[in-house]
Amino acid sequence: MLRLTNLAKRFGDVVAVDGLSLDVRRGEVFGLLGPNGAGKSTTISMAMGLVHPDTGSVELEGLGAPTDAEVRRHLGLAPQTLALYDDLTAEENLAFFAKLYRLDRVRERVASVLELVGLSQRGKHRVKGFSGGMQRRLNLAVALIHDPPLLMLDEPTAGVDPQSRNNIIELVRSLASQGRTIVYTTHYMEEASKLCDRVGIIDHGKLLDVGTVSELVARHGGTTSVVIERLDVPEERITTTDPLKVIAQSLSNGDVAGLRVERPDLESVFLALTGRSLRD
Amino acid sequence: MLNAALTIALKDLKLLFRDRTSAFFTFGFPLALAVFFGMVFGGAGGDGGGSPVKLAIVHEGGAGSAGEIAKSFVADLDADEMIETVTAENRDAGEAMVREGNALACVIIPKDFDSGANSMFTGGGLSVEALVDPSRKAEAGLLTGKLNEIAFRQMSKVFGNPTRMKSMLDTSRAAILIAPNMSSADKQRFASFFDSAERLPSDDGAASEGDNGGGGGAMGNFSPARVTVTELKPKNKTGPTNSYSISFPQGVAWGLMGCVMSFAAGLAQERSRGTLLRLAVAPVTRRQVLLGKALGCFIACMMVILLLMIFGRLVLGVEIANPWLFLLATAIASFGFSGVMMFLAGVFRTEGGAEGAGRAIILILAMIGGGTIPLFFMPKFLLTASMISPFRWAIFAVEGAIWRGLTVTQLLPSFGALILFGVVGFAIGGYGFAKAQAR
Repeated sequence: MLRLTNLAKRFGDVVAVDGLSLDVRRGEVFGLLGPNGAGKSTTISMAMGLVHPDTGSVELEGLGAPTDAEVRRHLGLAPQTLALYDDLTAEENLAFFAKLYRLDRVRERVASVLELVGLSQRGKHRVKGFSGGMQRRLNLAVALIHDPPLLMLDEPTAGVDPQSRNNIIELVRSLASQGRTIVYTTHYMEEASKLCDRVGIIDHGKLLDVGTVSELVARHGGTTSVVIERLDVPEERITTTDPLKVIAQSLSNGDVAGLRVERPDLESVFLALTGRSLRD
Repeated sequence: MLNAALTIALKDLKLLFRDRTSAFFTFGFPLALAVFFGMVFGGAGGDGGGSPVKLAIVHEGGAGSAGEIAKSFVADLDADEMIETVTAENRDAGEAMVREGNALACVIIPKDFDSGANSMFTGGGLSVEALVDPSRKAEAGLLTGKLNEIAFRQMSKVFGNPTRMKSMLDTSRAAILIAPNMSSADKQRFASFFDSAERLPSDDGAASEGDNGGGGGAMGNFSPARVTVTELKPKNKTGPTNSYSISFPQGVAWGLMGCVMSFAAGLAQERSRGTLLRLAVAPVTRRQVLLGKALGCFIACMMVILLLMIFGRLVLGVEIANPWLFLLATAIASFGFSGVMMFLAGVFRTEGGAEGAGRAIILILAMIGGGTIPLFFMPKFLLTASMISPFRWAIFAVEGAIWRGLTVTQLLPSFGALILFGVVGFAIGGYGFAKAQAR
């Protein structure tokens, strides 16, 4: 669906993206996971045709490069910044972009998208009165107004409360279930784990690895650990491929005050690939 | 292409009206200023300080045939630090200089100016006509006084010249002898006066300046100098011109400033808030986005000029001498200022830059262009500097159409300057925009 080949971009002395190649498959939710400043947004901007790469190319399957305005009709972008007109109502924001996309039956389309993001009741209210979560949902709605087959969601849950985050995650799931291809950037590994069919780990502009969460964990996450807590003794960590067996043995030995199993996750993958935590 | 541009323009206009502060400073504030200055100008005006006022001098008989007193009169005008004279070929040329704002007034010196000195005791006297710019009433008042003063100075010179004095007195004696409606006693009194005057010592103080005679009795015909002031009416115009005709074009400048600032800051806001990114993602070209922005500004500029003038026309009786020319001036000024907006938005790409440096630049241009201080109060160097201000050309174009009675040809310099500001602004702004987008 979307092919990025050997993309590179520098801003002065800063290397934002460094030889990144990637294939996003039709219908999948692809997560681009990396810390702030890793190059996720620049990659998205190049994929949208907004930033010209220094080297490399971007191609939408069967359509060409997104630098062509007509190719961009097939793309929807919810930028990290809330790109909305505060003094317009939600309906007016959506109608404005619908007209730019030369859509027919703008009113119906606006109503349908507002319904989709759960803002039907607030359509006639000005955006400046919306909560952060509502603005995020409207930001997503604008990206959906022309019903694009490929959606780019750049940190769509940045700065929202947990409840709104769950709403947005559910919304993305629902969009994915309709067969859309979604590229989802985030620095929250839980979101990537919950939503993404495949995840690419990006840091310092380089794509370090790509795969399903379980593939990445298997490749880089290391083994599972069982941590055993005993009275008056420091806790003991045992790495194992069979945690149940370790637990059974520990319990049979008695004097166990507590037990926990630590499974590798994307955080461990990131740590293994970059030598630092995702939250650093 | 136009559909997308129009959609963007209408959205921007909606945003302008939604932001009450911007809307007030674009529409309300200029109106308040125009009304305020109209009241001030309608009352007194200023003291006319600053640069010397320029007078167009027309010798009706041709400059070559000007008599000694006429030459002396012009030389004295020229010597006055408040006045700078320039010779105009004829009355029409002088009038045109006033209408085009190149001179405060046109002073017409009649063919028989010198011979008037010989008949000052018989209803003659030095006579000049001044055609003045009606927008500059305060200065015109000062000018009238100055012309009288200098005319009287010529009489003083006549009295100080025995030959000329004798010639004048002989002419007057002859005229009084045959005057049908004068009593013998009066004739006798004049004869005695002429005899006494002839015996006066020939020093410059023989006749005191400012003594305009005008007394009653036998001296009732003594009129050494007469200055007739005529306000130039706009061509093809029947209604009167009032002070609001002057202040409303100034208000237009403020309205244009509001539009330019709102739209330049709006474009910077679009950039910083990410909506420009959204526009860039949409299937519209960069040219369409820029056209939309410029079109919004153009429509707002047109609206502010038209609304101000319609208010002025309906409520305050401002006459619009040539409505079609006014519409043309409005459209060209709006184009010019859309270019100015593009320039500011292209050069100052952040909200802070547009609001700070952009506003400072536009405020200075408005001030030197006559938006705050009327041009005639400015010292000469500032008047010259005003050439670089689009406000000067816009004010002049609007004035030219509503009351100066100018033709399209006469307004070509103003139109040309505004179009040039527009084109250069679009070029620089477009380049800046493209450069920012390419990053």
